[in-house]
Amino acid sequence: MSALSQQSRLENARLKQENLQARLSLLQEQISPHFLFNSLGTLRTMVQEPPAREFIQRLSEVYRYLLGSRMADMVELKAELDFTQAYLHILRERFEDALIADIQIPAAYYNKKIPPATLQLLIENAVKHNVATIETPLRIRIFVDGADRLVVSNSLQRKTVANESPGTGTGLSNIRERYRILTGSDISIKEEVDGFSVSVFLLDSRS
Amino acid sequence: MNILIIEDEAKTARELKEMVQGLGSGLQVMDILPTVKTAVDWFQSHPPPDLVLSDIQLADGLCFDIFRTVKVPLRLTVSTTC
Repeated sequence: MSALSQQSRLENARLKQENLQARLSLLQEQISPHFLFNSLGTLRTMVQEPPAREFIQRLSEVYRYLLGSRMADMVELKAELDFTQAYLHILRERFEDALIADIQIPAAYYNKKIPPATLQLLIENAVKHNVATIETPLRIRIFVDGADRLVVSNSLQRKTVANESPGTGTGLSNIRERYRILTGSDISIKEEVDGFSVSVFLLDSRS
Repeated sequence: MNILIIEDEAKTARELKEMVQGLGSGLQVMDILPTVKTAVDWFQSHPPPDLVLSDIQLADGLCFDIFRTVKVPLRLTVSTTC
């Protein structure tokens, strides 16, 4: 009897501990975004140079979007494009003239839907696998094709890294899988001698 | 002392160059090279520098790929993003 009650006391203590731990994790998750945004805001006031202030502002926008949309299945294309511009601004500061991006999306498509961060993942993928230098800049184009699909294309200039696999394909297969689950449609990947492109369907705003 | 910088990010390369030049007039930055390819070509047409400051992940590969091809005795300091 006493052994049993001792066991249940232990069990009780363990559950209390787990409960506290869970509440702490939750609090930490709530605090860190505010801390991040407040710190970025403070940092911006400490900096005078307009390009640096803009960079901090864009970085803040990128994280606000990622945090705000991570629970959403779909977002409006306009929001995704604004986020993509902020993300590209950060990349362009880093790569300077080694990265050239061109976005041509008619306003008529702005209220279509897309899984959040799709464009960002595709751009990240292009940057990860291709050489970008001033001599051979990486060119990324984002546009809508004749079948109303959103296309992200890039000049193909693959990195030849000796001791790293040419890519496990996890980035693209993640996007593919996510698209299948969320939209029921497949993404289309096209590789040519000098170009690589991924096309995805846009969904109507009512769906 | 002649120093070669191998770094693919222009801003980082410029900052490193300024830091090196700020250390004293005896330090000359010979060149800034962004890729494995340009570095390999450079070593084949230039006398070896006294010191190489290099990033690890370059635009087209790892800096160690350079020294698999180029066999020159030199002092090398590698750095990576912190």
